[in-house]
Formats: sequence, structure tokens, C-alpha cells
Amino acid sequence: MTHFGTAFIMLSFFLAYRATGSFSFDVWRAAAGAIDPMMQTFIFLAALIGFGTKAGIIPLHIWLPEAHPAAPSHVSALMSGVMIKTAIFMFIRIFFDFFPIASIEWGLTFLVLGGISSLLGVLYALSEHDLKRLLAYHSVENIGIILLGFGASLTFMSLGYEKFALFALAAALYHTLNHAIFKALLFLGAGSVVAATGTRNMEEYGGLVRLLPFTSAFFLIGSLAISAFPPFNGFASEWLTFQALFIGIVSASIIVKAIFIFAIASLTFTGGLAAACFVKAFGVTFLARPRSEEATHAHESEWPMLAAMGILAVLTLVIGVGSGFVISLLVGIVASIWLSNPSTLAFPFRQFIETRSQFADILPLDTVAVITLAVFVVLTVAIMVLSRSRKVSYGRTWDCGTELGPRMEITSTSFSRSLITIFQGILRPTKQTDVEYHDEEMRYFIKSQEVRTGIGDPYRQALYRPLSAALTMVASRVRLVQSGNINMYILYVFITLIALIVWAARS
Amino acid sequence: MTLFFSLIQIVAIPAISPLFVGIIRKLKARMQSRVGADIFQPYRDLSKLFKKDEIISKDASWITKIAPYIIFTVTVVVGAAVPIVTTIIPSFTPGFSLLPLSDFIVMVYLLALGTFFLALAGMDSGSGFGGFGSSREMMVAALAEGGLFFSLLVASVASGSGHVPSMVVSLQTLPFTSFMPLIVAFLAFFIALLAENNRFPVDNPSTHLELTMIHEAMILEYSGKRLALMEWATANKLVIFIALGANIFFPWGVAASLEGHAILLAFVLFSLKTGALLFSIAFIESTMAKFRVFRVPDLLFTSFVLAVTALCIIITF
Repeated sequence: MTHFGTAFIMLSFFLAYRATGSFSFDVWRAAAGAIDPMMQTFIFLAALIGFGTKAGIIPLHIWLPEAHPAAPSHVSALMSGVMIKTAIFMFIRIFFDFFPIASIEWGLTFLVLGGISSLLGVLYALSEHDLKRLLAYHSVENIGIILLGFGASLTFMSLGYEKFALFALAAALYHTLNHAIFKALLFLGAGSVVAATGTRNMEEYGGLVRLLPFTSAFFLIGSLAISAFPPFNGFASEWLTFQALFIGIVSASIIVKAIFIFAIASLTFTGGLAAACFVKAFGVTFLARPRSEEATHAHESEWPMLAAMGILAVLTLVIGVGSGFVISLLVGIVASIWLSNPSTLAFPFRQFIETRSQFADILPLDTVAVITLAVFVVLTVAIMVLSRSRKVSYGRTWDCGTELGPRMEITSTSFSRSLITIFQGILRPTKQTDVEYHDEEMRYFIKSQEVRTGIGDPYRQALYRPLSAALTMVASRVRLVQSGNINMYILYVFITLIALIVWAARS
Repeated sequence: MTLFFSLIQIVAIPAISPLFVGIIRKLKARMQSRVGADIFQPYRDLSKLFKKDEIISKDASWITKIAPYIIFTVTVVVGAAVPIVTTIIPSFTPGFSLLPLSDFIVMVYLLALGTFFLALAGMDSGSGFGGFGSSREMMVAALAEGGLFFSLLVASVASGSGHVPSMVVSLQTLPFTSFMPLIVAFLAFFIALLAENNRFPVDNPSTHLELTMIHEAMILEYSGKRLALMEWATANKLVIFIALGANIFFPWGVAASLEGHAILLAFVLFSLKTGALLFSIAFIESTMAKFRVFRVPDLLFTSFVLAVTALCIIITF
């Protein structure tokens, strides 16, 4: 897939060279208006496929859940946090910096792709029981959310609403930053768990909260941030993205409105499903009782690992609570692309936030955090004081009178089964049952039974397999010329030479 | 005066929420030809639970211990910014008001934070019941979010504001003829209300003995003061939803000032509106059977589609 992506990136650059006669970005900027529409479309399409592969947009994402879990966890953190973001960077460079001439269809295309990537990404994550693959699919989801902001920005840009475009792009960049932080935190947490238990299979975890107290606390913070709960940073950027999309639904044409409604709907459901997915990820990994021998002997990571996670966990909170400051910084950065003076900007959609005209303090999550913390402390202290004479004792979980084993706990597969059943039209779950009987003739006594569940992979089946089959077929036809006979090759050279001479003589 | 009002606003929802639960139970009892307990019974239940000793599962971690406090806090914080009889936003000093809390996205996501911890607490004790309760709760919550979010978005777009109190103010001036999309959105909101608060036909709030229970399955291992907090938080959440539904989609009469007669009128109207909503919830619970769990998504998608339809009407006309 890397080569596939690179090929298209090269293609888009060569097309740009063809159109402008230079590889210099400055020349591109100057010549942007003069490129003919057909050429533009090809450049953008090649860039979309090329960088889309790097970013992991569905259906170009298939390498991502394979590559990220294979790497060591700190490398996965970098891959997810930084590497796939370079594609976003290049999208911004190409569509806003080099060729700021894209028509409205491109913005809408990005909105649709973003919506699909975020929704399907979270659904695939939900069906995973490999902790690191689950996180990798969440990268697909978050790239989708970033693209929603980016697509909104591109749409506003082509409609001529420059300030709205700026705002939406700031939202996209904010989410890019946030995703880098909380996803790195989650991958480090996952790495710590994998190192402690020696497996990536979530079904074999359980009860790790007592053995890995710090890792579990940091992982919980990461989960809260990625599920976009206030006052963590994920909420701040999703809130901004929502605001940017709200602007779109009051825009001019009905098709634009419809696509913006689709974008809002996908972001809404993504939020709810991501929360469900992280209840699963945290609950199945850290809560209840250990479900395997390894999980009972796990021990906490070394302090440098914990310190790294601690710093990232504090950052998720700081960047969330200090959202006003971060937004003003980001707007400065974004404005440097077009506008000279960012301080003249007022918040674009006044009706939504009447009393807050300044761009910088539109979302005071600090107030939310302070009030929540104050109420929490007052409540906890009050109840502790009032109930100090009550006893707290510890007993077994109620188990209907049987022995409560780890097999009775909910597992990752069973947790997400109901949601997978609801979305079975999209996910196409598969179930294969192998039964072995004591007596094959008399099938009453089952010796062992094995059930394999999985989900279908429509991309490989419907897209990549036909493509590679076609490629193989063409290659095998072409192979006919490769006879291995040296006289034959000399003949080819001779014919080529003649043809070249004829061609040269004619022109 | 404002400080006094702000403090009242913060404690208002926790103070009245047990009463609302008592009224629903009384109405249900009457519809089922029972006498039913006094409407103040939930207060007695809560105080009884607070006085009891507690037993916690050996398998449970600090999540179980902290979750009731977080869930209760979340409902209090969200409740503080919900308009009940006035649209004035509580403030403590000129620079420090609860305005950011009244943003509807903040409200929806803060309530979802409570659901998140509730589901974790359900998985914590390692019983099969709790785990399945959590799984179903997150399924319902994820799907109900569409209808809830979009019905509030309809009100937000119709009023041009993201803050619930200013939505109410602005919708009061809307002519009656423009209310049709809001009524459609209200239907969507009402379905989301039933689902988010574990009422019929999604969940049965009054049983521990059904295999399909959702909310009760998650709090099965709680006792004593933590159970009291959980029950109280559930009641708070119900009142938050009822107050939002009554005041956003039927905004008339909510006072814009703290004058005596305006407040009194608002109070009477609020009682009538919420009374009607409580009656409809009790009526549904007495006349309908609970849905099979895989029919619930149909209901929730209906809610979502209704809300989107309302939104389309708003933005095209």
C-alpha cells in the first residue's frame, strides 16, 4: 500500500509539473489559476488517493490496522500520532496553499469521505478484540473527524466564506493536535498492558486495574479524551467541529445542506459509538477478574514509561481546559495562510454564541471543569462526613449461588455483539461452528465445540482482490513477450530502433 | 439576590427529583388500580439507604467506589444550567457564570460522561448481569444520541442559539404556525428521553427480576449510600430531560426576570407541563409492553429520522 500511495503522490506532482512547468511550490502558487479544469481534477484526484492512502481514509485504510499493531507500542504511538498526520498536512498544503482553487465538489467529497471514515472506523474498532488493532481503527475514525473539519473548511472557502473556512480549518487542526496526544497516550498504555501480559488479545486480560494502577488510570484518561467527554481535549475540538458543521446547514444550496447534515449525523453517532467502544476497551482490559494465567501475574511498567504517559495525560487535560488559548494560537496559524491580522477576527457565527464575540473564549471549558470539580469535592466531603459512622464491608459478587468463575464475565466479543448485530448490514459478521462428537453416527454427545466469529472484509473482496486479479491477468499476458530467447530480445531492440528512426524522420 | 437565586437553581433539581419519581409511581399505581405509595416515598427511601451500612464486591476496584459520586455530580452540574422557571443563568460573580454549562452539546456530553462511568461500574464487579447491562446500556445510549442531539439541534437552529436559556427566550417569540417542526422534534426528543432514562418500552425501571433489564443490572452490586446516590442521580437525569422537553419545545411562560408574579406564573405553567409529561410516561408504562432488545434500535432510529425531518423542514423554509 505504501508504494501504491507513493505512486499516486508522484503522479499528482508530475501532473502539477506538466501543468505549471516547474517543481517549485512558488511557481505552483503563481500558476494555480491558470491550470485548466481537467488537469486540476486529475491533480486533486491523484493527491486524494495518494495522501488518502497515507492517512488511512476508508477504503484506502487496509494497511493501517495491520501495520500499527505490528510495530512496538511507542512506534505505533508515533505512527498514529504523527505519521498519518503528515497526510493531513499535505492536504492542507495542496488545497489551501498551492492550488486554492478547488471547486465546491472537493470540499463536499472530503465531508462525505470524513463521515464514512469516522463512522465505519469506529464500527470496525468496536468489533476488534485485539487492543492495538482497536486503537488503529480509532485512528481511521479520528482522521475522519479531522477530514470533516477540513472538508467544511474547503467548502466554505469555495463558497467565499473566508472566515468560516478559517474557523473550520482551526477545528480540524485542533483535532489533529488532540488526536496526536490522546492516541499516543492510549498506545503507550496498550504497550504497557501488552508488555505486562504478553498478549494483545483483550479476552485474556481482566482485573488489571489492581496490578497496573497507574497504567489503568492513564488509560482511563485517554479513553475519556478520545470519547470526547468534557473537559478533556477531545471534546473541545469535536465541539468546534460541530460548530463549523452547524454553519454549513444554514448555507445556500440544498445539496450542500444535505451533506452537512450527513456529516453532523456521522459525528454524533461516532461520539456515542466511540464511548461504547472505550467502555469495552477499558472495562474488558482492566476491570473484573483476570481471565488468564498471564493476567494474574502482570506487573506495572518502569517509571520512564509511566512518566511519559503521565505527561500526556496532563496534556489532554491542559489542552482541553485551556481550549480558549489553544484556539487563539491555532487561528493565528491558520490565518497566516490567508489573512494578515488574525486579531480582527470575530467569531463567525454570532447567533450561536451571542454574548461571546471574541474568538478566543468561545468555549470556556475551564468553567465547566472548575464547577464540576467543586460540586464533586463538596458532595464527596459532605457524604463522607454524614456517613462516617456507617460500616463498609467487602463480600463476594452475587452469583445466583454458583461458583463465580472468570468465564462468566462479559468479554470483548460479547460486549460488542449486540451493536454488531444491529449494524450487521455494514459489518457482515461471520460465524463458523466446528463441532466434534464422541460418536459421529449418534450426534448427541458433543466432545468439543469451537465457534469462530469475525467480520467480513468487503474492501479486500470487492475492491482489492479484483484489482490485483486484473493486474495479474495483464501481467501474464504481457509475459508472452518474455520468451527468454536472446535472439528475440535483439529483434525487439532492432524493431524499436527502426520505429524510432521512422518517427524521427517524420517529425 | 442573584447569588441566592443561583444557589437555589443548583439544588433545585436534586431537591425535586425524588418527588417526580414519586408522582410517576403514584400515577402508575392508580392506572393499574392500586393505591400506591405516597408521592414522598422516594425521599424516605433515599434517607433510609443513606443510613444503611454498605457492602462492596471483593472484585470491584476504585471505579465502583468513585462512579456514584461522578454520576451524581454530573447530573447536578447539568441540572444547574437547565431553565426551570426562569431563563436567567446562575452566576456568582460578573465574570463567573454557568453560561458554558448551558450549551446543549456540553449538556449532552456531560450526561454521556455519567453513562460512561455507570457502564464501567456495571462491568467492575465481574458478574454476568452487570456486564450485559453495560453492553446494552452503551448500545442504547449510542443509538439514542442521534435523536437526542438532532432534536436539540432543531431547537438550536430555529432559535439561532446554542445555549438552552436563550433558545427558550427566542422560541417564545416564534409564531404558533412555525411550531410544527418543533413538535416533530419533540416526538424525537421524547423517544430519546424514554431510552436515556431507562423507561418503557426500552427498559423496565421497577424490576430486578428480568433478564432483559439494563439499568438495574448495572447497579445490582450497589448498596447503602452509593446505591442512594445512583438512584438519586437517575431521578435527577429524568427531571433534567423533562425540564428540557417542557421548556424548550413548549417555551411559553418561562420567566425572564425574578419578579414575583412572573415566577409564580412560570411555576404554575411548569407544573402543568411537567405534569402532562409525567402522565404520558406513566401512561406508556401502564399500557405498553417492553420491546424485545433488538426492536429497540428501530425505535431509536425512528427518533433520529423524526429529528432529521424536523431539521430539514426548518432549514428549507
